[in-house]
Amino acid sequence: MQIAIASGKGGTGKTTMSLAISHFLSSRGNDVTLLDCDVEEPNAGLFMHSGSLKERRVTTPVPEIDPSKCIGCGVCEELCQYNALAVLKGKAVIFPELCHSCGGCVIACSSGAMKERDVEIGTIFTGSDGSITHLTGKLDIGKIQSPGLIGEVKKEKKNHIGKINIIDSPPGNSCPMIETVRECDHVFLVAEPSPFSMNDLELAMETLDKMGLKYSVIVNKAKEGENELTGFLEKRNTEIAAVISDSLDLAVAYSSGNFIDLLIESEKGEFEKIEEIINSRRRIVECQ
Amino acid sequence: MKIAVTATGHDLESSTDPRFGRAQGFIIYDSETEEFSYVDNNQNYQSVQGAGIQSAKHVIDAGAEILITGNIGPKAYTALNSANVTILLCRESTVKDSIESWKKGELEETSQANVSGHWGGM
Repeated sequence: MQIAIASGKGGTGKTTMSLAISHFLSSRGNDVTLLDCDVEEPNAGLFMHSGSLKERRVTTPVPEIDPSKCIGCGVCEELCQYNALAVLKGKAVIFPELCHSCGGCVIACSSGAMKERDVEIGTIFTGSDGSITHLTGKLDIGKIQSPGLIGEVKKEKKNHIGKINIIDSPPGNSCPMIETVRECDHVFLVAEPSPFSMNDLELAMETLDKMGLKYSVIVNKAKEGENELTGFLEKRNTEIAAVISDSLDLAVAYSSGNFIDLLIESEKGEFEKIEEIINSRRRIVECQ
Repeated sequence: MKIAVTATGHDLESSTDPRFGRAQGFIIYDSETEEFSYVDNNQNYQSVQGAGIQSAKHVIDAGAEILITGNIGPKAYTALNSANVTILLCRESTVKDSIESWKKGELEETSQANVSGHWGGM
């Protein structure tokens, strides 16, 4: 069972909700793994008490050009969707930091001038905090191939029947978010009642609709008397999974690194609703 | 000798474009015949990444030995340098005035990128 937590806008509470949902489900006797796929700025680990972590370096294949074999035909340049290849003065030149490792140029090159070599892009850290296993992908500074690393984090902890993976997504609605939510059984979109969040939420919903993924929205930092966001969701017929109230106490607890118990305690009814959505998805998925 | 100038319009009276990778286009000026042509850069203007490299390719393919522009990033610099294109930096003016400045030897040559890239690395 794969559950992604995404949002569109950053800072709405994806990591907060990922941690709280993981702990809540674990306290209900589930076998939970938390995967931090926000590989450009992973921070779920800051709130986990794990002791020593296991590390694995991750590489991605990038083409290398043998200029003595390159005939400058330009097939590779034409094929590359990321402008990572250019034929300059009759020879192909690669700009590896723009490469997305699709491998197309190596297949397309008919003169045998291209072969792939592995370059390191990041690290996967694995640890456990009590009954919760957690994986963190951390992209190396200066690297941009986050989808490649996200894919490896997801592969490291494959989907198993009877187990729940909670996957913390990067913000935005582009490749890193798409790689994270892809093939997930359900997505919770975390939104706050602000114009920025609502704008990005709508984009995230469109993205998930196009991908054919099931989702519901967690309204976070909800203020009493404000109903613009919930009204918008009701109008769109979008399922509201839970409404979490804005709380200064919670913000203070967050700053000290110890907010999870307080959040679960003060919003227990809301987490039970989230659990029910997960359980009902689970019944459907595990029947298939 | 051919000179490429990043330009916001199609003729010598156009303003220079301070950007290189996402310049709107290039005026290719021939100093011997004093004729010029325009190369559109719309595709790179809108590209997600690697605009500098593909713009460098336009300049190289046009046969220019000198480029006059406002700013140059690291990957564009690498690409232009591999084809021995001399890069001269100019302040905003018209294409015509920047060519005149070059003729008088007033433009400064850069031997490195003067702005950082947008996509990490290098």
